[in-house]
Amino acid sequence: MPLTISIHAGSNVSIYRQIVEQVCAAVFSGRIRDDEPLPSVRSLAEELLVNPNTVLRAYGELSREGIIESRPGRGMFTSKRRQIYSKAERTKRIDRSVTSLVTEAFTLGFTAKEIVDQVSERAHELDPNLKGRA
Amino acid sequence: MNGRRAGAFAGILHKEFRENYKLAILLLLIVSAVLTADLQQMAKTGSFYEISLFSIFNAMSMLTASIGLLIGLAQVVFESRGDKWSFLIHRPVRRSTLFWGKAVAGILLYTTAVAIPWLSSLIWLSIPGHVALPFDSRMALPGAADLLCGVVYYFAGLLTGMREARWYASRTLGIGVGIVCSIATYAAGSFWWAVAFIAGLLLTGGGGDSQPPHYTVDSDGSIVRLVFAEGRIVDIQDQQGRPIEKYRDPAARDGSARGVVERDMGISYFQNGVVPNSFRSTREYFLTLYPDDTDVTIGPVRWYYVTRERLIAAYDNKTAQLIGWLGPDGFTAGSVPPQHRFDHPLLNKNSSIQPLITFEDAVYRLDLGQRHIERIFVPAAGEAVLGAQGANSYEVSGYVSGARAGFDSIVTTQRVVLQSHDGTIEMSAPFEPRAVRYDRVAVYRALNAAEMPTFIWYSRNRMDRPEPASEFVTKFDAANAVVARYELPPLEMSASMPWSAAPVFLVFPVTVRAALARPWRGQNQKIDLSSGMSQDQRAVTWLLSGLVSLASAAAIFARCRRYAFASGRKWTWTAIGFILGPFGFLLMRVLLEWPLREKCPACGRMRVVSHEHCEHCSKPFAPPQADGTEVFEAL
Amino acid sequence: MIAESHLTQGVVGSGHRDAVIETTGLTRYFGARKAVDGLTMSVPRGSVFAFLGRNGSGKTTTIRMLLGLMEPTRGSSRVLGHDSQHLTPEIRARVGYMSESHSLYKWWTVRECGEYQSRFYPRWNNQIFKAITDHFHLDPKARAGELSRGERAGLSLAITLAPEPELLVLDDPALGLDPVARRSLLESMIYVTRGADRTIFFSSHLLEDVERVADYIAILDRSVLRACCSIETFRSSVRQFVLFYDAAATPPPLPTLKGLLHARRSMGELRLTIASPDEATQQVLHKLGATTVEEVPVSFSDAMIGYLGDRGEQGFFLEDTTRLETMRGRQ
Repeated sequence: MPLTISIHAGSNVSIYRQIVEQVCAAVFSGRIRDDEPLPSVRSLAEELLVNPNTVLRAYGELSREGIIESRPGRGMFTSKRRQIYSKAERTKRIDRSVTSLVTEAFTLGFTAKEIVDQVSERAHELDPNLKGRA
Repeated sequence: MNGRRAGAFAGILHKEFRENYKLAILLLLIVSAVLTADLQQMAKTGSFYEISLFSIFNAMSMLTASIGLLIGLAQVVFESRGDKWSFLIHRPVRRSTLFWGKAVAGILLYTTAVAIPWLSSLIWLSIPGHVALPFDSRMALPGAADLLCGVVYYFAGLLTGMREARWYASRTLGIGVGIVCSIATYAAGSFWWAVAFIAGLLLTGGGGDSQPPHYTVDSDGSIVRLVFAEGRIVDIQDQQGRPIEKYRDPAARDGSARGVVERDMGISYFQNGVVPNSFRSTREYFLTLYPDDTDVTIGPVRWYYVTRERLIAAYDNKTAQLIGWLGPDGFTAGSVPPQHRFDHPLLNKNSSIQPLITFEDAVYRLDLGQRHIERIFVPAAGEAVLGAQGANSYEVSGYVSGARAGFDSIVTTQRVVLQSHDGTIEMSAPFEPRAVRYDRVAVYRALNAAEMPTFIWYSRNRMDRPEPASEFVTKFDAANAVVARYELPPLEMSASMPWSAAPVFLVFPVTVRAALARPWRGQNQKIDLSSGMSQDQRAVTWLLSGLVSLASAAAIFARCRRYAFASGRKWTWTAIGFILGPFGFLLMRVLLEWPLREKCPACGRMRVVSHEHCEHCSKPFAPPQADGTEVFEAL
Repeated sequence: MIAESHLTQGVVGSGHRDAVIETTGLTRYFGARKAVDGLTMSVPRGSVFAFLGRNGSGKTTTIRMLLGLMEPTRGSSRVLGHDSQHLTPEIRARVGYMSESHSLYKWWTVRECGEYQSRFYPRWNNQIFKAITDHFHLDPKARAGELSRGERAGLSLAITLAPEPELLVLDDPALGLDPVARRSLLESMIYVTRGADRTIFFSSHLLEDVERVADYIAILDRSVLRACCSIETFRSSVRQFVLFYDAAATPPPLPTLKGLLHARRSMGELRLTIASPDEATQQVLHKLGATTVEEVPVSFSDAMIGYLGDRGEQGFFLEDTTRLETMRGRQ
């Protein structure tokens, strides 16, 4: 399964956060499909060489966010994609990244139009609906 | 479970051997070298066997002590710090197992290093034909005693090496303490002897040998006093202590004894037929008899009075073989001893060069060159011989001067007898009743003086009993008639206290001095630090020693109070301070850990940091100061 | 969750979880110097507990006192419910200990080492011993004295883990090890966490490894315990703020800030690291005349270094100290 997580100790981002973000990215980019099994806490901990409690915590947060779910007796699986957030919530979440992106682009000297073009191009490239296979 | 524990113990032994075997082998080689050198010395013909044996005995005591100490230290000192200590101790075995594992291994290593060469030496000595000496298995005793002492030093080394881990060992010793203490009490005596000796050397060496003055007879036939300083005669005074004109000249002093024949008969008052003597000296087993010769060279035959056999044995000096026995009936060749032996123990104290041997029931003259023995005196019924001293060959042959020189003198319980060489009794005087239990009876005859006076002199040997006693002298003229009787007052050191000796008393607590002042098994003499002093001076020195004990106890008590020792501990150490004096104080400094003292914020007085609460105001220690950056969470 | 300034040192609820190590006011003096001062903490069962602090802050001394290898001057500690100074052989069998020097007897061969140690322990898993010695490629006939540092550590680890101890105490286990050996060590620690009731108490300077493997940390700052919490709590408590200034403006001298760990000036900015800043402190930051006040994320290592370093304003290494002295003012 193409879920490759690599974490770096000593980063500004805590380890469990890195796991969460990487699982999220994998899920949202389509590298993992819905309903896929995830490695057990222990095996992921031993692979990443981190404390199992850290993995446990990451899985816990992912589970609370609805990205993965626990199937009794069978372990952790990616959940079927459900919109668990309201549109307002989702917008709020995306707005943070957009603000950051736009601010940086302006700092670098791009115009508003150039920014929009760049975003548009990238969105088309990465659209999971267009890919479909994995 | 038991199997595992045995496995652990065996493992510890194995590890200790593995780590220290090289040291043990090195020490074994050193001991072997020393003993071999000593034995080689003995095997040479012409050497003085007693001295050589004595040196072997003494070498052993130094060797065992230092080797025991060294092994104990070596076993522990490298392992007693830091991570090595952790690795040793953090194991699922009891502390006692660890400690005794080390101790047993160490004692075995020590025994290997010391006992093997020593036993080999003993066996070599015991085989006939190696040394011209009557061997007695009891000669092993001093070495055995030294071996035991070495074990005590081993434990001392073990505990010393532990340093900051001392607290650990002190909890572990337990039963071992009992064994150690009993050995220590034996060894302790030799420790104090060593201290006294060194102290004596260091502190009085400058002041010189404080030999007290004593009386004697000069060549004019007068009683004079000899005064010493630094081991030499510096003045000769008359009987009352007044200066004598002619002896101002040192040359005259040197010749003061010319022509005076002296017979010195020491008397031993012994119990159970045993001459009180050090078990380290060989006197208990044999006494070397020298041929009647003022030139002490060793002839082709060595003669020994052998205590166990109650006979005199003769050894060939070259082959070291026993060639025969000399008994009351004469000489018998061969190794089988004759039936008739001497009935009573030999009274001669040590190997003096004289031709007479003395027994309670008879006095014999020996002519060892001729292998001849002759009984010259038998006491009357109810009378016992106490001592005798005979004329040497020069005196008999007249080389000294005149027929009146070559007499034998014999002292019995009832009289003093002077007997000439052919057996006729020249003179006899009853034993001075006032000199009961005096251990020195001497006869002087001033051959060059007018009237050729003879003196029979009773005195007490000051080394053995330092309380001064009067000396009783009877003077006879040439016709052996009593001319005068004297009672000489005991001579004392100069009236003033020899202050150079005073520091010695500051070192010894009263308990140790009392112990040293009694004769004990290990040595044949007491040490009295105040010998040669007057009663008053002596009393002052004892007072000083008492003060030393009290002062040490007080100092220790104060220190214990300062560091807030528990009551039991405080009094134990105070008692040790009284018994051991300054050494106790030293011991305490060295053995114990001394905690820091800090000012108590509540009451302002100095408090020990090792107690939870201030010993003055009972306030507990405050937790450390916070600086606002703490991050705590209930886990 | 942050203690008050008069500080009754973090009462880490011993009622909460079963504590395998507990200390109460543990103190040790060496002469006049306090090596450990009033240490009170407890280590929960099943956790991986990192014991941190600079060299000489008292970590090794603490560990020795915990294991009954050294007597405390004052205070007490308990291991697996037993007083540290009176640990029975049964308890010692359940506590594995590896010192930072990876002590061994030099003349042992690897195999003898295992044999000797196995005599002492009632439970000795020789497969673990073999597995670890194989992992480190140790020749059974090689003498311990001839092994490299990493190999010795491997052997030491093998004899420490073979009795399958309930509590593993490691004093700076990675000291002097090459990266491969360090990785193996890390793996072994994660391996131990397979046992749910097995606890690891270790000290280390490798902050990245600590971040990976520890649940909780305790920090000794010059003999005093100043932190005892989970890593997350620590991370969220140590925060860094950057105050930006115009090139023209000179930043004012710092007032006393509660919880200030570290302050660093550079061109037009003042970087402050503060422990558990409360509202009031954050208000003060905004009153220092800066153009912008921004909070920046901190890595665990940087947070730790800031926490362990000297308090107050610092320059870079041998920076102009006279300038710093005047700036320090109130610090």
